[in-house]
Amino acid sequence: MTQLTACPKCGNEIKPDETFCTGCGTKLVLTLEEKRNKAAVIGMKVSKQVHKGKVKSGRTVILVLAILFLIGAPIVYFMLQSEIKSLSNQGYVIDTAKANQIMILFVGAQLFLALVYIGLWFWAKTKPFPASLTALLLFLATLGISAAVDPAELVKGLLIKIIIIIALINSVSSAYKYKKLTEADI
Amino acid sequence: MDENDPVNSRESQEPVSPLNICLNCRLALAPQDKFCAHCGLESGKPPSPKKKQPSPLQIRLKIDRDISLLKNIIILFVILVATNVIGSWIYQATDKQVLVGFFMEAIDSAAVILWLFAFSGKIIELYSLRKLFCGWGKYLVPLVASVPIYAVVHFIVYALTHYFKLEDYAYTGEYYEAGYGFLAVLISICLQPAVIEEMAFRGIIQTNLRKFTGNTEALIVTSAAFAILHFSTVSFVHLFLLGMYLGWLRNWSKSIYPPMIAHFLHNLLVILNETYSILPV
Repeated sequence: MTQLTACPKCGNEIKPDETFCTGCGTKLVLTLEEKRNKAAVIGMKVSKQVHKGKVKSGRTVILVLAILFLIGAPIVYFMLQSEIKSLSNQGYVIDTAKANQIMILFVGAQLFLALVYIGLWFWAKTKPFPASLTALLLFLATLGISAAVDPAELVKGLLIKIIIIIALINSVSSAYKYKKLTEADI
Repeated sequence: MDENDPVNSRESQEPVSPLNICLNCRLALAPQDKFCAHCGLESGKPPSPKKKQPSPLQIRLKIDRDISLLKNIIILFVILVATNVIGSWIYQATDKQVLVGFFMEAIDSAAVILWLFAFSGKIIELYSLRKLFCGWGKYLVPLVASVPIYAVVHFIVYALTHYFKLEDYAYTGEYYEAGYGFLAVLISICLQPAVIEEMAFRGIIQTNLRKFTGNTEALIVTSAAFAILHFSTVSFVHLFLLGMYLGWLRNWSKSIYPPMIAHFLHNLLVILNETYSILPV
């Protein structure tokens, strides 16, 4: 039995023994489960907007990674050049061919990754979930590669790396949740 | 027309408004009621067959379970990356490189198999004997395509290494120098990657990602993960394309066995070429 006198949705007058509003069909008497579901829907609608924001942040992080790798390429080149000059001035005999090989590998890898992340940024506009997941897996693997070459690289810029990983994980999770909530008409 | 005739008079010709009843619960509706006060059905509309819709709480529970599975997939990938990293550290610090390789492969295999039984019970069906008999055509394609695919991949690697003046890398070199024979090379370079990498990528990662996104997107993500795990940016593009081919095979055959065969054959051709120089370069 409802204690309402007017429908909360359309304002239609309600008689005491009515379960549904005769003006708009809204259910007036909710079971406990229905009340919980209604509260859950409200919470999920709010969280949907949060997820949308996290997906946008994830896309921004992908663009930032692309820019970092792009800027990183000349930085790596000049760093390696100065390392070679420094070793040469100290009297070490440098295998120029080998040094060039290493430079090509490192600089080429930076440029290639920048290109991949730019592609992922574009992809994230329409398919944020797979794009963010690919970006996350690639980033984790590139951290692994740099750690395999030089273990000290793992701790350099650790805070930024952790922030990027967290942002990408949030983006992946939120992209999926946002998609599911949209499909469920919430 | 007689105005006093109760049957044929003008008044009796005016249409009588029909009694409104709900077509679901058969209760009478007042003329102004647009919806039934008892069941909420719109006046005049027949009841539609009730589709079983999941409740919002059920949707939230399913999303949480899916996210948990996704995190486990990412953890598996991190474990595979970590074993590569730790393996390379030990590799650089010791002269027993081949033994280190065996050990890391054993760790990878254990991780993948344990993960499969712990989190992916439903996709064990993919590895059932029934899936082994997925049609001879599904095995013919990897058999026939293995040679041209290997030739293309080999020439791409050859072109890249010579253009950028990189060192040629022979997978089998260390094994033979350490005194291991062709059988050890076959198991370590052909069999283990074909079985375990396909289990991990086409089996666990690709199959589970199809629950989250479309088949094509799952294929692209899995292939990118497969390519980058080999820790070589020079080889990334051709490994990505190889991953796409293996993933397509898995989708087409609906079985894990044809991609395993394709992967095995590809790696076999690599070691045969290194051992017996079957190609001109």
